[in-house]
Parts: sequence; C-alpha cells; structure tokens
Amino acid sequence: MTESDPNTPLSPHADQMRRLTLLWMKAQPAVSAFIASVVRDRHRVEDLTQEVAATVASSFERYDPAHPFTPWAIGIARNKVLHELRSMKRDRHVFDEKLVMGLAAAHEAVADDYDARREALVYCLERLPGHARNVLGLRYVRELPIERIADNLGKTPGSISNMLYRSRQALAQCIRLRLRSEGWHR
Amino acid sequence: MNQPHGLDTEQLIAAYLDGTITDAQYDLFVERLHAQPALLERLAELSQLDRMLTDELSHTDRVELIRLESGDAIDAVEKSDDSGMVLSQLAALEAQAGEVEPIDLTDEIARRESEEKVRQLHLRRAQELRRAGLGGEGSRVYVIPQVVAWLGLAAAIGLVVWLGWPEPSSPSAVPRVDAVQPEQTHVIVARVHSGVDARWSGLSHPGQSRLYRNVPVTLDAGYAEVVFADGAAVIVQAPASFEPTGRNGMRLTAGRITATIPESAHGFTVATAGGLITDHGTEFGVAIQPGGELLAQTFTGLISLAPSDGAGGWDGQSPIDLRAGDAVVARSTGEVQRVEANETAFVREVEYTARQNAGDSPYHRWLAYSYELRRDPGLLAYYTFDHQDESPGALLNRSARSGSRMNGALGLPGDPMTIPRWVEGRFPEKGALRFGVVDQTRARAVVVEGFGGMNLGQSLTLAAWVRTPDAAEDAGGGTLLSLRDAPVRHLSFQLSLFLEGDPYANQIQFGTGNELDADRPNDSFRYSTPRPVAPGGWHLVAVVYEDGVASFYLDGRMVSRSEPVGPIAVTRPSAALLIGTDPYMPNFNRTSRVEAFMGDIDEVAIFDRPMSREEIDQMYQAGRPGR
Repeated sequence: MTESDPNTPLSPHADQMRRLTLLWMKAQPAVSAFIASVVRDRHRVEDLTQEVAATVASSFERYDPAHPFTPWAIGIARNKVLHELRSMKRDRHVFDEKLVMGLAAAHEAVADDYDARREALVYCLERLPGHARNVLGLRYVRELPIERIADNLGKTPGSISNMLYRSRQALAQCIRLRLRSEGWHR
Repeated sequence: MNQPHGLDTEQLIAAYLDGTITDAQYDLFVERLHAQPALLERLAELSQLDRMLTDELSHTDRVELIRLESGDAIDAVEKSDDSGMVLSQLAALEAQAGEVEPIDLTDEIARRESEEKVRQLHLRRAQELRRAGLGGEGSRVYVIPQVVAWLGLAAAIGLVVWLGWPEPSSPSAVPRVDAVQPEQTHVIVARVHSGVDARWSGLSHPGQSRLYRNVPVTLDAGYAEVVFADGAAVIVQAPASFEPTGRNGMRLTAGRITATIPESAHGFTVATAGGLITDHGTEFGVAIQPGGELLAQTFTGLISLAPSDGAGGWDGQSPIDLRAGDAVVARSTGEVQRVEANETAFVREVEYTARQNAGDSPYHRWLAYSYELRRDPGLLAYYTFDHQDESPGALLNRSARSGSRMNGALGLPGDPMTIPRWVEGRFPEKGALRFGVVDQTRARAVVVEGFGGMNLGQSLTLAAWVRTPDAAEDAGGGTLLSLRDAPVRHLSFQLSLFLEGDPYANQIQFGTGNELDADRPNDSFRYSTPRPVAPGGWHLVAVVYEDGVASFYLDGRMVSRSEPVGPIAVTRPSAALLIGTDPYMPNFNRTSRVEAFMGDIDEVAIFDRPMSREEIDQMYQAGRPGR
C-alpha cells in the first residue's frame, strides 16, 4: 500500500467518491432522523437509510453542487419513504403523503446545524442527572420498550414516559440556549 | 394544559416517538399536524434529538446501562427518581445561558476504554448469536441488498483512493485497509479539548469539537489540544494539518505536535511520509519540517520509528528506538539522521497551559512570553531562576541556542558561603536569588564558566529583573552581570544598578573595553542619567549596546543614551560570567561592597543583538508583577 500525497490530484472518479463520502457523512444523520420520524420500526429505518445511501450513490451524477446536498438526500429519502408507506397502508399509524412532504421540508430546515446541535447535546447531557441519563440510555441504546424500563426500575410506565418526556424537553431547550449562546440563530 | 385525550401537543409528539401513542391520540396528533404546519418542524427537531441521543449515548453509557439492565442498580435509580431534578439542573443552566463553558471531556474519554471493551464483547456475542441463527433483541440479522453492498464497496474504494491510507497497528505490521461503509466513516475518535487563539479549517462550525476518523482538519492559527478516545493528548501547533486515523492514532501532513500518552493509550501512532512513530508510553514531539522531512524527538519514555521504505510505505523490520533526549530527522527516501534535541522546538504541556492562562494570571503571562523568548536566535543565555529541586546548586540556562552548556553554578567554586539564597520571585510560582556581601572580600554569586567562548560580537542587550532592598542601610545596588578577564581586566561587559547611598545613586552603569588601555583611559564605563528607583520593588534594568553607544532602560522605558564607549573586549574562552558580583572584588581584595549587588535577581537575559524599544517594553509588560 502506498501513501497518497495530499498534493497529488485525484482521478475524477476518486475525487467524486471523496466528495460523495464527505457529503453523505454529513447528511446521513439528518436523513436517518427524517425516516425515523415517519417509519416507527427502528430496523426498517436502518434498512431504508441503506437503500437511500445506495440511491444517492447511483444518482450522484445528477446532484447539482450549486445546491445543498442534505436536502437533496432527504428528497430521495422522501420518495423512498412514500413508497414504503404505500406498502404499509394497512397499518393504523401511517402518515399521509402531505404530512410526509411537510415533514421532509421540516427536516431539511433543521438539518443545517446538525453538528452544532450535537455538540450542544454533549454539553447538555453532561449536565443531566445521572439517573435521567440512564433512563435515556436504556431507551436509546439498549432500545428497551418503556414497559421493560419501568419493569427493570420498578416504576410505572407512565412515570418513565414522563421522565423521558421531561428530559427531552429540557435537552431541547438547553440545546436551543446553547446554540444561541454560540451565535446560532435557531 | 390538559387536552381531551389527556396529552398536550408536545406530549403527543413524545408518545408518537416513544411508540406509546394510542389510536385516539394518533388521530388527534395527525389532525393537529395538518392544522399547524409549524408542529412538523417541532416533530423534526425532536426526531433529530432522538437520533442524536441514540448516537451520543451509545458512546458513553454502555457499562452503566448493562448494570442497570441486569437490575444491579435499581435501588439507586429508584431512590433518586426525581425528574424534577432534570429541569432544575437545566434551569440553572438556562439562567447562565450567556456563558459558554468549555466542555471538559477528560473523564468521559477516560471512561471510553472500559466501555469499548464491553462494546467489543457485545459485538462478539451478537456475532456468535447470528452465526448460530439466534438473533434476538439487539442482535438482529440484517439482509443487506446487493446495491447497498455495492455502495459500501464503492465507498470503501473511494475512501482508499482518497485517503491512500491504512490504519497501522504496529510498526512491524503490514499496513491494513479497513473496508469502510459510509455510515461507518462518521466515527468520532477525538475531540478538540481546548485552544489558544485557534482558527480551524475543516470543521463544520466554529464550536465543533468532534474530530472524525480519517477526516482531515487544518489548524490555521494558534494552538489546540486534541484528546483521542483512548486518552492520548496532542498539542497541535499551527499551521498544521492532520487527521485522526482511529481512536489511538493520527496522520500528520504538516505542522508540529506534542503528544502525551497515558497508559491507556500506549501504542499511539503518528504516521507521516517520513516514517511511522509508535509510542511505548511517553511524551514526544513530531514535526513536518519545511522540506517535508520528519523531525521526531522524545522528551520522556520511549518511542519507535519505522522509517519510510522509500516506496510510500514503512520499513517495519528495522524500527529505530528513540529514548528521552533523542531526536532524528527522517526523510521519505528512508534516510534517517540523528540530530541534537531541541527543547524549544515543540510546545509542551507547561507552555500550552501558560498560553491558555496568559490572560488571567500575570505569572502565566510572563511564562508564555518566556517560552517565546527562549526561541529567539539572538538569545545567548537566559536564566529564569526557577528553583529546580532535581538540580540543586544549578541555575539553568533556558536559551535554546546555548542550552545546558551555559548553566550556572550557585556560589564561587569551593566557597559555599557565597551561594545565594532562594527566595520568592516576582510571582509566588517562581523563585529569585538573594545576593549580597559575605564579608569584606567575598560576595554571593552565580558563576557561568566558559561564557567567554560565546564569541560575542559588537552588539549586545543585557536585561535583568531585580528587586531592590527595602531597608535604606542595605541599599547601594551593585553589579548585576559581569564578564571580564580578571587578571588582565579585559571587560566584555558589565551591568550595574546603583541606589541611594552610592555616589552613582539611581544610575545604571554599563562597562566594556579595556580598563588598562592607556590610549582610552576613560572609555570603559558609562552611566545613565539619574532616575529614582523606588526601594523594595521589582524593576527591569536593561542596556542595549550598538554602534559603540549604550542605551539605558528602566522598567521598559529608555532613560538615556550614552556617549560612545569602548568596544566589547575579547576575553579568554574560559572567562566566567558572574551574576550578582564582579571578579574585580574577589580577585583584587577590594573592601568596597559596591561590586556586590545587594538585592534579589529573578531573571537575566543576554542577547548578542540589539533589542528595539518595543521589544524592551514588551519584556517589561509581559514580566511585570501584577496585572
């Protein structure tokens, strides 16, 4: 294996792959968040995200660099999700097309400052009491249903739901304040 | 506000995201989303938070969560279950929202090692379950469509072409290429822990602290400390370009770094075109020099260097060990050359801390300046008067140019009575030496043997921070610095400050030339115009000698310029620099005490170039006690 000289021009294909990889790295969390806001099955969310990645790669030649990449990728995800929802018509909790379109636009709007928001989340999580953080962890890392968390901790599902709700509200507020203090307008 | 279905809109969003929403609540939720499009943005924001929580918590909380999941810590959680605390703690944060505190991630990163081990155990267990066809919760078997596999392969190829860079595991190992899928590249492996006037390129926003694996960044200006996931702490000096290659390694393409490696990060690697450095528990510096060659230097411990094999890889078969004090220059051709270590070539932790705190603490302000001064190529000798427990009896020379060769010895040879006493210096954090007479023929002194061999030219700057005595009876001042051939009285230079009680009170004296030169009998000494020197305080005394004229400075301001004075006389190479007295006194058995300085000295700098007025003022402003 040879080491590349950073000053050596890359081949057009390699350069394109490099751009694609960098752009996708930034866009992927926002794309995944959008899909997850519509599709409630976490595993299906991951599969769909992979499918969007594949489509993004195969369609990359059609991407216009004059426009932001993440909204373009969310647009591809929106089409995937709509197609997915058509096959889920029998499910009770499925958004209609209008809501999906609106939600995609909303995700495009909040995707701009994803990195800054995640930085702020680190700051805010540091300030969250350990037990609240643990409950969040059981929910988001161990992916336990609320009933399981409640059962493990000897609490009622309602109290766990309430705690998750209040924790997220507080974190969202903290993130907003943090971004504002860093000069972000949101 | 309670709603018909018992939940307000925010709670409906939460129930939806948690998957606990009832059919009736869902209908209401959808109705409101249609009626209030702004709610879609709120849903998007909280969905994004969900995603971020998944990513962020998965990095940090696994050990505790496994404990909780197994029920070990239920009591502790139960007793402390007070969600109101969440809000009260964050409310306190809201109250101080204007203050942006730096995020201290030291503890978090220290936790990572054990967490990573657990993570690896879990991954292995999940793999075993998959192989056995027993996929359960958290171990789901994914069927990746062919097109996705293609994307992963394409991305991996693209990355390899782009990076051209394998993550090395050891100097002797064959470089390895990780197949990287797009989502796997977005891996946070290091953080910007702090910065000093740092300006970056390659970060998505000014406050970003996360650094991703194999994503290059550039520090355009200032200094920064980067902490890797395994605990390695790296100080980066701008301009520098690098990329983390993993949680315990980096690639340096430009600039210089200093790495401090704790036990958890032994094996930390720094890859460069000139070679691959692997740490074995140490502190070391790495620089890419202007010609592209690698400079590696070990401060403590041991590192090994696998030199370039001349073909773009590294020769892992014949690594070169570098121990404390060793330094090498290595080229991409594979050529390696040992060089003399240079203590000031790299910014180490103490200097970085000084630069960080320079705005808050006078001591750190001076220390940061002091480190900068050490790199001045015109600095012949520099004594900062730090009391060194590990080298008692020595006054260490901090000049990068002359180094330990010009260390001083406390006291005249064989005469312990002449050893000056350590006292507190300008700042509580540093020392000073108290000088004065011992008896009618001896004075306390610092002796720097062989200073006469420094090949002085005809330009000179002498500077010393001195504290004059409080009591009038101890006043009188005396000689601060002196370099002369005592027997023949060739005088390279002499700097004195005289105080009340002396015929030359409140004047700075500079001497040079030959006192016995019959043709120039009065050309050896010049005096500044008198300038009152308050007793008991710290003062910066300086003289700049250029074109045969001496300019006198007190506390950063020029006092006066002299009439022409004799040229700097050439002494024997063995002639000693004396600090705090003059050889005139012990050698000629003078009884006058004016040759011995009565007071404290806590910094001496000698340059073989003239310093400008601005530089002298800067020296004063940086070094004065108080803010």
